[in-house]
This record gives sequence, C-alpha cells and structure tokens, in this order.
Amino acid sequence: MLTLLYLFAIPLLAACIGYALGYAAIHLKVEGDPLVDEISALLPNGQCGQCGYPGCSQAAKAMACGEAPPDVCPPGGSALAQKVAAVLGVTLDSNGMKGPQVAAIAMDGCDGCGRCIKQCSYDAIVGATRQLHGVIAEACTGCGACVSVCPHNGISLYPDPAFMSRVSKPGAIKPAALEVKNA
Amino acid sequence: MMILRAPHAHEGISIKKVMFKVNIALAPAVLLGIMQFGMPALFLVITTIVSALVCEVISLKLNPRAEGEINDGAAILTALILAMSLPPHAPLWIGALGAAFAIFFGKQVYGGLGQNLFNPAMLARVVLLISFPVEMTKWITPSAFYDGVWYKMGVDGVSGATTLGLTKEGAQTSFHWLSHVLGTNTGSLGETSAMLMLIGGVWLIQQQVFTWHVPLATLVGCLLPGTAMWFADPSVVPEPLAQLTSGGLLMCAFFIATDPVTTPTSNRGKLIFGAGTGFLIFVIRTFGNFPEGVAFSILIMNAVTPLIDQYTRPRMYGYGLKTEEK
Amino acid sequence: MLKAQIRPHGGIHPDSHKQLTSQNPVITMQAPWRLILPLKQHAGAPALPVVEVGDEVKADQLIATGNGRFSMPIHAPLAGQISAIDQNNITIKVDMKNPRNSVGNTPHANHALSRDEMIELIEQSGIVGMGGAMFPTADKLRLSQKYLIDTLIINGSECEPYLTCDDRLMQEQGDRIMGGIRYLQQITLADKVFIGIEENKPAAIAAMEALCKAEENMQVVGLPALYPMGSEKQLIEAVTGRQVPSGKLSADVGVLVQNVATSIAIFEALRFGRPLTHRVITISGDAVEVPSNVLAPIGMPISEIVAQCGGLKTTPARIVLGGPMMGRAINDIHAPVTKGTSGVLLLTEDELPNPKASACVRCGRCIGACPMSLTPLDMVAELKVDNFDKAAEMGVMDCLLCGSCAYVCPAAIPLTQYFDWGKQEINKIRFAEQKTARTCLNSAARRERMEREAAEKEAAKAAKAATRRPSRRNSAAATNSTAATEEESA
Repeated sequence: MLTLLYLFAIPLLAACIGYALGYAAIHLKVEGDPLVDEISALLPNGQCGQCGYPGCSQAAKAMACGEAPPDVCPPGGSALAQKVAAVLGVTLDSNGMKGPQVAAIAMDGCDGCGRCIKQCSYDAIVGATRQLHGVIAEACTGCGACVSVCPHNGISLYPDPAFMSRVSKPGAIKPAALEVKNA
Repeated sequence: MMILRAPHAHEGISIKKVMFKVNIALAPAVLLGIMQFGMPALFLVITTIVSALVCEVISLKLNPRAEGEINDGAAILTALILAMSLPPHAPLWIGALGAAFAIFFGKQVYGGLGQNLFNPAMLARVVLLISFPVEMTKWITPSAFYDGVWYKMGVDGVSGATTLGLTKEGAQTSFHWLSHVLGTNTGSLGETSAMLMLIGGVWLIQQQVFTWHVPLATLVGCLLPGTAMWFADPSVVPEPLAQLTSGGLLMCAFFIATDPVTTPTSNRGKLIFGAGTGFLIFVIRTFGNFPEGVAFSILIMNAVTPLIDQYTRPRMYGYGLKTEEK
Repeated sequence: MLKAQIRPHGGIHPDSHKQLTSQNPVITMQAPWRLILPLKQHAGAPALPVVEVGDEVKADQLIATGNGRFSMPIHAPLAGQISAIDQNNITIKVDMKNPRNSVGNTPHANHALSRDEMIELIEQSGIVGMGGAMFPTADKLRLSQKYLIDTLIINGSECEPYLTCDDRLMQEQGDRIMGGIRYLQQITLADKVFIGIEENKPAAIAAMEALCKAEENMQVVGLPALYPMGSEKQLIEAVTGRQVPSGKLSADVGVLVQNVATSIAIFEALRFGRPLTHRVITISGDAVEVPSNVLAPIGMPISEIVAQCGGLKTTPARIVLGGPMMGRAINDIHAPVTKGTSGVLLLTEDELPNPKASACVRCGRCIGACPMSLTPLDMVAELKVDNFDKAAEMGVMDCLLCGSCAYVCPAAIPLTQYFDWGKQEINKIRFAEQKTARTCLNSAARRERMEREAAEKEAAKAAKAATRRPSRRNSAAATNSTAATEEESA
C-alpha cells in the first residue's frame, strides 16, 4: 500500500498543479490586452491623426503588435517614443530620431498662399491671406506636414530652442581644455 | 584633470587619503599582534595582503569598468581587517583563500569599490569559519616577547582558550583587566590590544574619517544589555570590562562597523546600525552557539542597511511644514 | 546685535581668502576706452536695442528696452559712440575727453512718489538683483503688493570666499544702504527690517549697528560664518526661523530679501533718478598684482580692470566670474562686467583644486553638507541611470546648486554638474508634457471647428435651397419625385 502511494505521489502532485493552472488560465484570464492599454495611457489621446491612424487607441494597437514604430506619434516627440519603447522592451533606432523640432517659414519665400495654414492640424501657423505667414513655435510639433505642401519650399524644420541643452551629462563628453586667452 | 565647472574649490580629501589614515590607525595593533605571535603571524598578515592585492589586480583586468583602483588602499584595509580576525597561527592558505574570497565575492562581483552590500572581510571570515572550523578556532597564548621569547616559524604555539570561549564552556576565569587592555590576552591578532584599538579609533574620529555615532552606538548596544545580564546572572557572561576588551568588539566598533560602503549614510541611520550590531553581538555571545558574534552581526545588519537608509532620510528643507493658509 | 534663530543645516567652511581684499577701500576705476554691454543681464529675454551703430550716446541714456517678462532696460554707463551691435552685446567706444557727460537725471524728494511710481522707476532704472541672480527687482517688489510682507531682510552675508565688495559697501556706504532700506520699507510696508551680516565681518556689523540705532524696527543679525549663509532660503531660516515651503516664494512666508548693493541702487534711482550703470566688484586671486575692490562701470572689460589693478602677476590658470563656489569659469579675459558680477577671480594653479576622482563609497559627507537636507549620493545614483522621476522625488528640483556637496566629496564626483543637468532634463520633460497636452487640445479644437464650419456650410446651403424661388424645371422634378415617393409609400 505504501509502495503504491510512493509510486503515484509525484504524478498526483503534477496532476493537481496542472489542474490548478488550467483553472487559472480559463477563469482568471485577463481581459483585453494590457500592453495596448498601457501604451494607450501614455499617448496624448488628442486623436489628431498625424500618425496616420484614425485614433490614438488604434495607434496604440499598432505599436503593441509592432506594426508601427514607437516614434510614430509627432506630438509625443522623442520623450514619448522612449517611454513606449521601454514598455515594449524594444530599442529605439536613434538614427531616425532628431530630437524635438519646430518649423520656420523663410521670410523671402512666402507669398501668403495659405496652403500651410490649411494643412496644419495644430493651428500653429498664423497669417492673413497674401500676407507673410509665421509659425508659432510653442504650438508646433514638428510633424512636417506643412513642409511638403509649401509650393516655394519655404518651410524648414530646425531643433526646438526650448529643448536646447545648456549642460551635458557628466562623463558623456570629455570637457575641452579651458585655456585662458590673453590680449 | 581640472574641474571646469563650479565649484572651483574642494576641501582636499580623497578616498586614498582616507583609506591611508585608517590603515595607519590600525597599524600599531597589527604590529603588536605580530610581535606577540611571532613569525607565523607576520607571514599570515603578509600573505593576506598580497593575496588581496593580486586578486584586485586580476579583477580589474577582467572588468576594467569596475570602480576603484589598485592603489587606493581599500584592498589592503580589507586584508588587514581579515588578518586581524584570524587565529594568529592559522595556516597561510587560510589567509590567502580568505582574502581571495573577500575581494572576488565580497567586492568585485558587485562592481568594485562602493558597490558591495556586505562587508568583504566579515564575509570571508564567516565563510572560513564555517568551512574550516578546526583551523579557525585554534587560539594561541601570546608570547612574552618583552622577555625575549619569540615565536618562530614551525614552532607550535602554546594553545589557550579565549576569555569568551571559557565563559561559554562555563569555566570561570579570573579576569585580568590589565592583560586585556594591554593586549597580552589569548585571542585573534586583533582581539588582544584594546588600548591600541581605542587610540586608533579615537584618532580617526578626530581626523573626521568617521563620526562618533557608529562606535558609540555599537559599544552601548553591546555593553548595556551585557551589563544588565551580568547583574542578573554573572555566570553567563564575563564582567563588562572583559566584554568590552575581548572578542574584537573594539575593532568592530571602530574599524568594521564604520565601513562607509555597507553602513547607513545618515547619522540617525548610523546610530540604529550601531545599536543593532552591538545588540546582536551580545545576543550571539550570550545565547548563540558561537563564543564570538562580530562577523555574523555585521553581516545581518549589512543586509538591513538599505532599509535603514530608506527610513532615516533627513527631512528636506521646505517639506513637511505646517502650512498656514494665507 | 541679534543672533540667528536657527543655524541652517549643513554648509561648509572653505578657506575664505578674504584677507586679500577685506582691508582695501573701494577704488573708483578710470574710464576704459570701450564698454561691452551684454543684452541679457537679467532672467528674461535679451533686451532690445533702441540705438544704432554710429549713434552718439550720453551717460545714463537708455540704449536697450526690456523685451517681455523679467526683461530689464539697459543704460549707457559712460558717454561715447555705439561702435557695434550684435545679437549678444552693444559695444560703446567711450568718449575719453568727457566720459561722464550725462543725459541728465531727475531727482525726487523723499515721500514724493507712490508705491507704484517707485516700483515703476526701479524698473525703468534697470535694477536687477546684484547678488548674482539678476532677477528684476521691480518684479520682486511687485510681489509685495500681492502678498503681505512683514519682514524685510537685507542680505549682507557675502558667504562666498574671496568676495569682500558687500563688506566694504557696508563699511563705506552704510548711509546709502539705509536710504535704500527706507525706500524699501515704504514700498513693501514691512514691519521689521533685519540686516543679516556674517560674524566674520565685525567692522561691517559695527558700522550698520551704529546706523540702526537711530531707526525703529531695524536690527542687525549676526549670522554664523558658513557657506551658503547668503542663500535666500537659508538666510530666511536663520533670521526668522521660518522655512520657505518647497515650490513657494519667500513672499509666501511674508519675507522679502534684497542685497545691500541692490539697496544702494534703489536709493540712487529713487532719490537721484540715476539708472543702474556702475557697481562695486571684488577683483582677487593670486594672479592679479593688487587684489582690490573697485567701482567699475557695467560693461568694462576685465582686462581693463586688471590693468588698473597693477596688471597680472602671472597668467591666470582660470578666470571665474563670481565666487569660487557658484561662479562661472570663462576663458576670455576681455569679457565684460555685468550687473550681476560680484567678483572676478584670477586664480593660479595653486589656488585651484585638483582632487583625485574615485568611486562613491557612500561616506555620507554630502548629506552632512547639503543646506537643503537632500541626499546627493542617492540622487546622483538615480541620475546616472536617467531615473528622472525618482530623482525628482528625492528633491533634485530643490537643489540650490550651491556646490557644498561637491566641495566635500572625497571621490571628487561632479555632483553639482549632475544636478544642474538633472534639473535641466526634468524641466525639459515637464515642458514637453505640457506642450503635448496643449498641442492636442489645439488639434481637437481645430477638428471641432472644421466640423462646425462644415455643418454650418451645409445648413446654409440647405436654407438657401429652401428659400430660393422654385424654377419650373425644379418644380417639375420636385412633383415627379413627390409622386414617385407617394407611389412607393402606397
């Protein structure tokens, strides 16, 4: 009798654990995809459509399954891209990332046609018809939609001055020698 | 390389200088121990130091990104403390093995200087004690070197028992306080001279290498319950002065528990750490299986240090104020 | 003399080197042949020039106006001709024959101006905090109109090593400081005035105490000589015993602090109508022949000042604007003195530290030194791995960047630089989050507007179609279609 018990002890234990896991898999299943919810919570949720998807939840789904890269959201910028990449556990391709940028309209090229105003989905361009147009840097996300529509190629992107770094991380760059210049 | 950013001033202390001062403070006790226990002790100390340095060099070659340098004095200090806590006539391979373990597994595997969680010397001592109990408990009576009697290599020392060991076994000895204080007592290299340890420790406090919090808290934490227990039942513990001057308590209070890497950073945290260490030493000595409890208590308190740090953060300026609604 | 109520936590005691200049009375500088006036001598955007190259200007004439919030006007310190204007500076070639040819100033009798008029005049005079922060004084004083100020503290601590200009000002121009204090009392309506002076300046304490005897509610407070005793938060804690809550202003605890030099500038502006054009600075260090305290026009190149102070003894290893703890190292000896420059240090190699860099051994000296009771060693561990959230939680945004922790660190870890970088990155992150929220609101508002406009267009079209006189063709089609629909429904 005892021998029988010894023989069946381990298979019995395995069977119990297996049953418990199966029960959990069915009755304790998590609804929805927590990854998509996590990414969706990070997004701005303004439904601006700049990423190419109809809404932010669709963009989150696309990012979660790898269809869209983590930096697909222009208003989020590189800060958001890094957070999403961290959630997904992927490394961000820094080559494509240029840091936050804003647009600027070159004064001599602008004839006031107004195509850029119609294109900008953030209302960051101002200007009366046939007058010089200008970009409000604080409202511009650097998505680049206006750059392609300007018929005179008068709009270009440049690094956002609000994100200029005055101090660098210690140890990152070797400090240059500070030689005193005299008369 | 000059610092090019503010501040353009510095107090002038460096890690190397601090380590050097601690080594200097420990040196008189080491020298006395070598004189008392002779050539075998000298070779043990040398072997431990050399082994530690060799292991440090190997580690830094294997991992150049590890913190610390070979000549910053930290490896020598670890080796000295380990050697001081070993039996004076222990075989040389014990010293070498202990130092190797201390450097590799006590320090470098965590990332080098400043990264370890446990005190490397105490870790090594515990490992040696558990692995080689016979060699690690062979205590020798010090030679009367002042009368010209020296221990030479190969001569078996006169074995004796330590004060704490005798108390554990229930044998009462008459306590010669002078011998304890001056250092002519049986014990490990570092246990014997209480006076030199005390002088060295107080000098380090004066040099601002560490503050008074840890040493005082450790001594009080061990002696307060110890004295109370002695009043209650003198057969279980030796008298308070004996407790103070034996078993490496003074070396622990001034040289081991003050290791900055593995102990809390705030003053309140240091007091808690010291009190805990002292109390655990008392408990292990009185109720535990081992006659001496320094190494174990230090390791236990090291494990609790991050928790102590978390809860003894100073209150920042401008936080937690009673705000008046204007 | 009162004693400090609380000794601030932490702080350090660096070698003061003040004996190099503390006994030297202020020397007035001769006019240099050119002045270089930076357009940004304040916290806000650079000022806008109102003169052009070639214009002749007189002393005290306005040459640049403020440009938005926290931006202050700039006046010509000496007469001359504008020789260059670029995006950073205006350069004046000084008329050496008559440099002090002034455009004229309007004096005001005592009590002739209202509070608002006084603040307006201070703004027009271009006065900024001369202790080094260069925060516009007028904006600071306007706070006193929003908050109830009961205590005015005059900052005569001068905790940085080497600097003695405020010490000499208190000894030599105490009456003008008092003049400024009286104006400040009228503006802020403060009940009590305390003049905070470190105890290592006994002559200054004696001088100010003698002047305070004649006043009610004005007292000198002797402060412990530690760095950074002159930091506003620590000064308030020591003098009043109150701490400024994190993220709040000193006005929130009813206190306003002004530097002694700023007080003198306020006096000059309100009593004599003179704008801020000159200031006293300490020029010190072993590389200069005669370390001194000098009264120099703003914009005077350092090389000119050095020339009038006996010239250089040796080539300086480093030039620092300000004190050694928080000053900025520069590499151009022709750089000018600005409104916020309290000192110029020409340091030799021996005076510069060269500590041995090592690893953090968690010794905790930095915790003991931090005046804000932060934990630098933990904060830097988080910043090393870009854990900005955790670092902000530990209080890195409260860091004064005073440099006390880096001063005591045995491992010579660049703590101050880490915290400067950390604060910058956290500010960038917060700014980015705010910008994202704003742009998304804009985009949503725009979408809404588009839809509304499209709907209005549709509605207008439909309304127009309904009110149009039906033509024959239309009515026939309409009848047919109505008939068709009737058939369908039948």
